[in-house]
Amino acid sequence: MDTPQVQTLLGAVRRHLWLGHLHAAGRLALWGTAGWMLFAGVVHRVAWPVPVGAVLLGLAVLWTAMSARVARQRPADAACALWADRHLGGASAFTTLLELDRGNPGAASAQAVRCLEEFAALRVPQGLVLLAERPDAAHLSRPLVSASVCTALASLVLTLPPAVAPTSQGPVASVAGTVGRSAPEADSPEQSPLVGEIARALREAPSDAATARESGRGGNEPAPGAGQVDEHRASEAAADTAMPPGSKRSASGPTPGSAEDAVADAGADRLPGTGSGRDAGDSRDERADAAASRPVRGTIPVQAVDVPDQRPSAERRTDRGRTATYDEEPSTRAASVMRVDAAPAAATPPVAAADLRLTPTETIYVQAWLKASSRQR
Amino acid sequence: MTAIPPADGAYADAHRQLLDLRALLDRVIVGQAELVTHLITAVFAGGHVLIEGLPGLGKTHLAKALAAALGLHWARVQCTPDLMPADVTGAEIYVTAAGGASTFEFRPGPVFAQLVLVDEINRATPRTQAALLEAMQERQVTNAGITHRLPQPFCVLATQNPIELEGTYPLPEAQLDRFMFKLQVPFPSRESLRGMLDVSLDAEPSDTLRAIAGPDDVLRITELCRTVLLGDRCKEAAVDLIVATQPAVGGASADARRHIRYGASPRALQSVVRAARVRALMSGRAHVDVDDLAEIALPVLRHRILLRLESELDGLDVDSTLASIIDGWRLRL
Repeated sequence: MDTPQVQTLLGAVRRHLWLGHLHAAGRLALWGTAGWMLFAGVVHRVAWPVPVGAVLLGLAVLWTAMSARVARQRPADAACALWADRHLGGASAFTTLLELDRGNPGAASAQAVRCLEEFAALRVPQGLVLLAERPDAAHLSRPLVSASVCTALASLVLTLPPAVAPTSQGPVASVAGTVGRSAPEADSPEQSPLVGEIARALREAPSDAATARESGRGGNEPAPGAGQVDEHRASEAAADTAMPPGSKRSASGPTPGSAEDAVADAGADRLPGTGSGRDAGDSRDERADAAASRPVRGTIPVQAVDVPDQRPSAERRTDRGRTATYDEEPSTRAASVMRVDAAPAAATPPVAAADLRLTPTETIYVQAWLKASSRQR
Repeated sequence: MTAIPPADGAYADAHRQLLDLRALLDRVIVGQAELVTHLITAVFAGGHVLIEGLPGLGKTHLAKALAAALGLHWARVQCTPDLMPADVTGAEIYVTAAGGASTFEFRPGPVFAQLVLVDEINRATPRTQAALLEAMQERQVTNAGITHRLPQPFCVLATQNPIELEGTYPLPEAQLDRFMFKLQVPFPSRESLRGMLDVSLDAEPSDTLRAIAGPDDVLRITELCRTVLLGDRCKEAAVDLIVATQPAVGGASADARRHIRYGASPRALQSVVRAARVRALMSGRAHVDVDDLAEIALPVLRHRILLRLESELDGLDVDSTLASIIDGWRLRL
């Protein structure tokens, strides 16, 4: 009952539908490839190293699954006939003919069946023409480009060492802005001229502040207690030069007693092997020892920087009379705060105090950072 | 009734006769091509038609032209509130024979015609409507214990006026369900009005119409339509269409759940398939397509669903709701 012409049309429709399934699976596999490569690259860069073999294994599983899916989706005759009725002007002739072929044709009129067969046979050439004219839209270009780009990116990333060192090597202080470089490169003082400049500026800062305070003492004598407060802040500032602004002095650090001690501590922090003030040259900065210093995560490891060539003169650094100043002028302090506020977002701002006022050292730190940054640019 | 195997070329002959009939009526009934097609479909599917339209749109003219073209004996019943059932079905009258013997003799009413035009059926009392509708359904009239078969073919074309509803008795839903189609006569277009002047200004064209078929042809084609093949896909589609109008049944469309109070009956399903078979034959096919179902869905279902009161108050009508349901059903096929 099923005419050869109808079988020809159904075969063509089956190939068309299967090709559509193949394209769909290809699109899915390409998108999956892109996603998988991106995932592998991100994992390799962020979490842990991803071996290339694992990536290739995942791709092989993905493409094998898609191939199996296509092979399993062979369109049946009923599906092909239904598709031909819907899209090729079959007017339900192909499905009805197929049902009669497989069902009980005896219940139907032989004349009606003959008419149906003639109708279907007449529709076959028209259906084949319509099928040939249908645009074969594979829509593979976009997923193909995406998969290619993602594969290239992932290949590039996978050739690089992972950004995070293995945990067996212990925590290494890293700078947030150094992503993309390896940890040793980020910590190397030779590779960080910006850090060296900032450190130098900060070493000069307490002396300048003390000079400013001495000059201000003649006309505007602070209260008796204020000097101790200033000296204490000076010691904090000196310690801040050795420690990043984000990490204040720890409990195990030297306890500030007098201003001399504070300045001495500050000088000792600043220069390894030399002190400041009276103790200049006698003390040793233990924190300058990278092995003994405590790592500070997420901050600039200033204590590990060795900048012997850019060291300022000892006279300026060891003048203990030039202690840190406390600027009591609100306008000046406001200006400092405003200058800090005006800093570009790219700079790493120091952590603000509880009262949102910057200490002079912090202000100097920011200024030095800005100056060095602008010079670098 | 046992299906008679059609002779070779029977489908082609039937297809040609249907097309000729449609072309003839299109020439007489100007500008109402869809109405004519639906009317032919209903007649050859063995159904009755309820025609709704304003006065003067040619409803009576259409019935007369159809009867003349098919060579059918036709009768007309003008319904009024005082019309009695016996006026429609017939009655026994006392007759005195020539020899002096007297007896009761059944005088058949106008319902004993092959094509009955019941004008303004909603003006008849419910009792008369019930008598008429019983005849439509059973195709027989029982009087004084004697059953009288109605002639074959038998088709009722009832008309009703959508305006001037005072003093009328609207048909209940159970009786509306007896009609296969409910057709609405639209106002003709400007070109159609111009064509009417050329066709029917001075003479009634149906009076001079020559029959191109006879009652036997109608019966033969009606019988042939029952042999038109109906595939499983079309059966499922027809069932889906009826279910889509049922608000309380799974598979109902969102519009049906929202707007319909009562959906189409199983009798509607039978009417849909029977009419689709005729439509397939008119299209030159010996099998039904889902397009055939879609074409006759609206006139078959129009009078078989009831909208919710809230939806009616919102300004919705049956046709727009059904059109939305049919569109959704068509997309799912």
